Amino acid sequence: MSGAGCAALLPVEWRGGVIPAPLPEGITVGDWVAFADAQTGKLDEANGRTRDAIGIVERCEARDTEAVNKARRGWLRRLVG
Amino acid sequence: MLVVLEVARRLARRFAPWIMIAMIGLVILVIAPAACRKMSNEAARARLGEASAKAASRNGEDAVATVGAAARREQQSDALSRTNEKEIRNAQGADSAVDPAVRDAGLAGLCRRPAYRDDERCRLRRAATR
Repeated sequence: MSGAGCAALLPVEWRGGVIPAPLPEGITVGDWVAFADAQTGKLDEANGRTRDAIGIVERCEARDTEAVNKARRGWLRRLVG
Repeated sequence: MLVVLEVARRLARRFAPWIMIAMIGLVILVIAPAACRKMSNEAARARLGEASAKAASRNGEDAVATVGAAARREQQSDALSRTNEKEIRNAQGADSAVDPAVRDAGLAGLCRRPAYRDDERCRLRRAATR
């Protein structure tokens, strides 16, 4: 048990990454400013997924390691702990 | 010679129970550690299976909760983008025209990004420049 299955906890759709904001028409200033804002929103979403993915895998690995360590403990430590 | 044999026979008769006990003890000493080790390994494997199942269950719950929270956050982000867009388009100067050269350069730049490589408009632009 080395946490090898932890990556499988991540949603399949996250593997493709966050879909970017639609390309702007770019005819007016408003088009470009709105595009910049929408793309920043997508950046926030992507950063959020990165943090969440790392957190899910890290916590999963820690739980798996804890499970192995618990199973390996001697009977006295299991009794006390 | 007969005396020696008689002494040996008497000694053997006298110590026979002890010899038996010693042999049984020897057998136990040889077999017991391996048997104990085997039992201990099986118990550890069972404990590992149980602990792993509990960990897997908690990992699943954690992932579902985290992904659910991310989906809600992304919905809020998209909603904010829509609200912001309205405010931007209602702002004075939002309708000002952008020079077509800047527009083309901007779109061309975006089309060189991996994020838009497969975008339909980028494909058309590439086809038009060939």
